[in-house]
Amino acid sequence: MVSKDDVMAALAAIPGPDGKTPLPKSGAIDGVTIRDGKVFLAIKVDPARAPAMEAMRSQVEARIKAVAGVASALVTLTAQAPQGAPRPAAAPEAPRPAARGSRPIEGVQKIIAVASGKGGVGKSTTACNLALGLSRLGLRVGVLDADLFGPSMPRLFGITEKPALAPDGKSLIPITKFGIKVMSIGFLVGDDSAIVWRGPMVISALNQFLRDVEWGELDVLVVDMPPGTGDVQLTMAQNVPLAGAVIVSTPQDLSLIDARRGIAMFKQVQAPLLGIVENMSYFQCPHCGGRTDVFAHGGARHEAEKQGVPFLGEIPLDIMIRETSDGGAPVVISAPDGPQAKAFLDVAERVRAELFEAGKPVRAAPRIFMS
Amino acid sequence: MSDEPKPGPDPWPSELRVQENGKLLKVTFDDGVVGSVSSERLRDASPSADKKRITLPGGRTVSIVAIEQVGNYAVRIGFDDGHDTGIYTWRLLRTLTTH
Repeated sequence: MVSKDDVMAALAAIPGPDGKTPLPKSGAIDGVTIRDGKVFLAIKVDPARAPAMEAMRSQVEARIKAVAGVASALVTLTAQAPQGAPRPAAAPEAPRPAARGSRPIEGVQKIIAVASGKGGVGKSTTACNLALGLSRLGLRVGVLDADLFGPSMPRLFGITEKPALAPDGKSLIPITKFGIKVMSIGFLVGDDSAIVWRGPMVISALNQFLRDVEWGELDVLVVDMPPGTGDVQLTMAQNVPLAGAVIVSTPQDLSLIDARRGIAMFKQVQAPLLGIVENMSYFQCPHCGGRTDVFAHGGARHEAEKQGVPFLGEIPLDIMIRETSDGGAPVVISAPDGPQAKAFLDVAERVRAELFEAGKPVRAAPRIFMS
Repeated sequence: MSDEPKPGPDPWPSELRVQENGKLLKVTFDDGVVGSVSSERLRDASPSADKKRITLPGGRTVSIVAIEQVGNYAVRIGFDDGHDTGIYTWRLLRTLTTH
């Protein structure tokens, strides 16, 4: 039987794509499959140089065929977007190109999702002020408005301009406001035009917003998720290595039922839960100073305890938060020393602690060996 | 990563190793449990809706040709019969390799 080692040994004399390093040591070999004396081998190359690599490919193929016991050899060149090389599509035993995986986003250290089980609980307002709070703590922050059906970030940040195209002509440059990089579908379509998305369109739009936007170096990317527990949330979990999720809920039971679904979903996909924020926690009357628990109070804290996830804080139901949000001057910016901003800053502090100082060890991805 | 045993309901693999020319998957969990599952059983247990089974010429068994991580919770496993849409969660791998 031919072994992988036999094949590798035969290739030791062939220089890799850089023209110097022996191919087996160059890291360019993307997988070897040997079945009944038939050898399939893929070599990773820069797609731009694929035509120039053809000579190497045929050389490798010839060399493998010369190994004792090899019945046939098929060598393909692969690239990020496979192209150029003949593909062994017809051969049922050929190795299949790997599907798009959960590649990290270059330059972005931690991605957190702000989610809610249902709409109307103040998720986007919380995401916006949380991002600003994290930025005030000295982190480099970006906000991705993934609520494609009802993008709120243009309004919340008071952004009306459209994002520019990067010099490469392929990616968008996010808009910087209050020191934060923001990207939203709302920049590209008007406030009053309906956005009607089919499921697969949402997924591809989301992938583009994650990967085809020049986020640059970020400590945290805050993703404002659409409400609910659907396709987009699952895609996030599958395509993006989430550092964690923040669930926003009001204290009322009706909202908590949905928050519970959100928690269950993130638990299922093993995305760490950073915790629950209780929004509209209580109403402090600006006239008499009296406090009213409009949606009851403390429900989210109890739920967090019950589910064993951290409780991140309470945001009061406050007209100032509402007005500043609608006015495009979020409260953390427009009234940075007020009690409302403090509520968000407290949440941001806890999120930062969970993200960067968490005592619990992060479980590393398993090592995968194909032999 | 400590070797301290963790309770069963939250399995987490530390290593996935494809052996015997793709016929066997050996999984080491971070609680110290090691188990393995044949490519055939893995293929039959694919949780994908698109499970179409292509019988290979000569009645040979399928082999694992690709493993790729999905999020924090699972791997996608590709077989040489062309099936590569099954997403195997850590929990499923635990069940398949230890029962």
